[in-house]
Amino acid sequence: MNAILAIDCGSTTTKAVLIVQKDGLHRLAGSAQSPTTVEAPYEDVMVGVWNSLEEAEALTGRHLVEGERLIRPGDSGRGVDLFVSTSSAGGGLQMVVAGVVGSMSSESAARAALGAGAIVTGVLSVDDGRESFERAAALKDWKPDMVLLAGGTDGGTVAHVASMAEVIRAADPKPRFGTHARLPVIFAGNQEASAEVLNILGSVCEIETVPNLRPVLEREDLHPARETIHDFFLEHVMARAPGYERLMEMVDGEILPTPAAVGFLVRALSERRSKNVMAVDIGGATTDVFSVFRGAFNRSVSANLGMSYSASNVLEEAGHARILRWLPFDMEREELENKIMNKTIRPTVIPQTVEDLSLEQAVAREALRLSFEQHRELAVSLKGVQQQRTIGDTFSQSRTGASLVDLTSLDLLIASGGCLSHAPRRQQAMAMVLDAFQLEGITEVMVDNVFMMPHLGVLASVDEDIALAVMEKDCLVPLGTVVAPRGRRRGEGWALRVVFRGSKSPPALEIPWGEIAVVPLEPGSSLQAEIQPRSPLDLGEGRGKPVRSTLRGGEVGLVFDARGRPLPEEPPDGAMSLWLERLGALT
Amino acid sequence: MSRGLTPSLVVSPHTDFRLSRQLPLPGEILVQEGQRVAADQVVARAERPGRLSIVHVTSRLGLDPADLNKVLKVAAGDQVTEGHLLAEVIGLWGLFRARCDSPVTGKVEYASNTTGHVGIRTPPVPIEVRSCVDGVVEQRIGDEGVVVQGSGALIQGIYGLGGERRGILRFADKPPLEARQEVDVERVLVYPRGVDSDALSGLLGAPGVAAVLVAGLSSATIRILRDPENWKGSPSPPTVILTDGFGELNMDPRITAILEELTGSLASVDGTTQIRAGVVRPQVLVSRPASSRIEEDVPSSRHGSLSVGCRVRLLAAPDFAVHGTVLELPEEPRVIETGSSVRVAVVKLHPDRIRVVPRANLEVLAG
Repeated sequence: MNAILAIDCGSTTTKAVLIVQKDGLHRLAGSAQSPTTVEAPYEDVMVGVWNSLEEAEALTGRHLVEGERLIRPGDSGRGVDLFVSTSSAGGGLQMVVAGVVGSMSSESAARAALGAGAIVTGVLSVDDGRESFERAAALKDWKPDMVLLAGGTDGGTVAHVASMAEVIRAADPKPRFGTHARLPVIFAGNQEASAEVLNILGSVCEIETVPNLRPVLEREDLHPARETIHDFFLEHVMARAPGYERLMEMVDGEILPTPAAVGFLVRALSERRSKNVMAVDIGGATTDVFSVFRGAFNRSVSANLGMSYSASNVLEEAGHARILRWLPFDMEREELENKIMNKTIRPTVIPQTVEDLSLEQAVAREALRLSFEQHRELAVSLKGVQQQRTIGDTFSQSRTGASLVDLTSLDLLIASGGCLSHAPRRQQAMAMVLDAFQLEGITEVMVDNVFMMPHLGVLASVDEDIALAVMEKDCLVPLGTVVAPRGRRRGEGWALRVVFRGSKSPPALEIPWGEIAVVPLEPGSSLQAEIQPRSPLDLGEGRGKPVRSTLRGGEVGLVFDARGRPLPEEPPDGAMSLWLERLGALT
Repeated sequence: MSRGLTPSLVVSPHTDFRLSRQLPLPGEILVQEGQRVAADQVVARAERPGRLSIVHVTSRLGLDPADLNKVLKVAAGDQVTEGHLLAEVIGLWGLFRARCDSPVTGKVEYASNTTGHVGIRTPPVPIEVRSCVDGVVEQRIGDEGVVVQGSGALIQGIYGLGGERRGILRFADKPPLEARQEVDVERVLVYPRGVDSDALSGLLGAPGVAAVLVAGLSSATIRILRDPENWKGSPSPPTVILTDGFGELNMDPRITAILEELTGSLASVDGTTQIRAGVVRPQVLVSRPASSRIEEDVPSSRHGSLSVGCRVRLLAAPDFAVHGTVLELPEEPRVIETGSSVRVAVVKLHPDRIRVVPRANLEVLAG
């Protein structure tokens, strides 16, 4: 393939990425963006697509469009050989999941929906403490594109599943696109209840039954539900969204929901490097966290945590004090509230002063922290059983309901999203990641420089080699490696001692307890190091046990974070300024 | 370089507008294309299906769901009123009776032996959509609504609470208008220099106040307004529209002047605000005949695109909510205080201050 075009139709912008083969290597030739035009006054996604292609032509000098036709096949100077697309326009695929037991069937249904690239806007279960009318009112309010109904093991309860179907009937939610359309409902519960569910919902919903996603307590089978979610997404959501019919005709393969494409890429990268990988994408409305630990993939979407549309929700969930603690200056609570509300109602505004930039980055820390907490709660082994689970690969868990996320075994963290990728200083991106995730052990950190993970994800579903090669060369920018012991200690004195090996290595250093130190090391370089944590601090090998490791450089370098874990709820007086200064993150 | 995307709001003493008047679900359209309509005229109506009330009959009577049919006194399709007997258990030779009554008036939609529940649909709720402006029906949108074309003053705000209301425009700090207008019609009160939360709370339950227009309110005040506990029993608290944003702000002199000129006019006000998935901003509309139009001396963008000479509102500190005029749009990005390199505009503020502002932080005031 000589030239590849990938497009992501996002909520606010449509971004085109052009990849061209040169001297046998596929490289990013250019990217361009234009406002998404699904909403009024245009109501045609193709307007934004053509605009972004026009911009891409201007930037790369490659002729891509003739009239309203994409030039295909490509040759050395014009056209493309492959055209792929993702979409999250109009707020992405919004789903409600319903089940019988919240911590079992509803939780499994949520994992199925999230893994398929959906935003789960609401969860219902028979044991959620609501009355039937409250569930119906909530479901009506959530306005989903689709509902996934689960519940009951095969041969188990029928009555509870049927009562949840009655709630859906009572709510009678209407799909967002097409006032005459019926709401798609996927039933993936007790197969013996399917006739009853059809009887209740058949006349008001577009219903399809798939194999039970929890056929027995000890096993999850999410694949059939995910496949059907994807089919329904294309058939009922995409096909009804204005202009998508044309886009679907033009692309090679199928349009993937944007988060599904990113998840595909993260999994491919983890498999290729045999590493535990986590990726975060913080947007204006939602924050996605993806993780692959020991082969198990999980994705969570925090639907109400983001930097613009959802900034006021971050304030509500985190509280004033938790945001204000990250500011290196004082701010009144009322001023904080007004500034955040102004950002919420005018989402495209950017920080213009150093104070506003600091505030944005403080909000980002809390949005990331809360999203990560939610991810940890979702990425767990099956509850109530001592067995294996199946999401891609299977593995054993010693305890049920335990989080699969283990920061000391995390090898690589990829940070994406405007406030991270476009932070005026890379050190600021590193500071946000450090404070929000409280990384432990030794972890490499990278940022998605050009927001092209969705594009490369959908490309990976066609050609993984090209997608991963472009990702490593043109998409990810290494920030460096973080060394951070967990645990806390009393008193002063050293916390970490580091000795570097090799002929041109920097001198040994000692990092005092509660401080941060940075050793510059360029991207592409690495250093052998022996790191001694002072007991009871632990780098993953045990309290006070030394660790030998190869530390990779980046635009920030090697970061030794001796503040301990967990970080204090309230940084000591003046500490925030000192930490930012040590990292080089002060503007 | 990305294509520019500059948000815009209309602030105009006299402009043409096309207003989409849509039902939330398909219904009946009551007007024809080309027909002249008045602001209060109903142009479309529909019936929203009633709520489905699920009655847990067998669990209330202590029975197994499969026994529902044995005790049920109604069937699918029956009309019932609140208190109507749905099911009854008679025990011990008639000495003990347990009954389950309908909690609502409506029609029995189903009775399930699987769940033991009975579903009762309450009567449909009529919905009417009015024209909102004097004008002409330009287009019919299937069985969902119409587009009305009209002209007059249009001021879009940035944030609002509450729905559509109509009332006589009046400045809160000026003497009342003629008694007849004040008694017959509700008022739309303008607070050009802001209003404190105590005064605003007092208006929540006050009769005769349809809406409040103000440049800015604090987030804390908005929280008070959104809490139904503070509505003091009023079924319809006034619609509130912020023209500029959150915080203590003064209304821009041009908006104030337009509203002053419209004092005493009947205004249609809508506080509906949607920030995502189809932006909807609150607005104030006053119908005026096209013949009364006087062209303004200050030119502005008709289509909301950023251009030299257009009026803009600054959206970020240190000049938040200040209005100005674009002097220059340099092509090359510039480094701003934060260290970011962004595309900027050179803006003249009043009186005679010049600012270099990121284009992302401008809102075009079109119209």
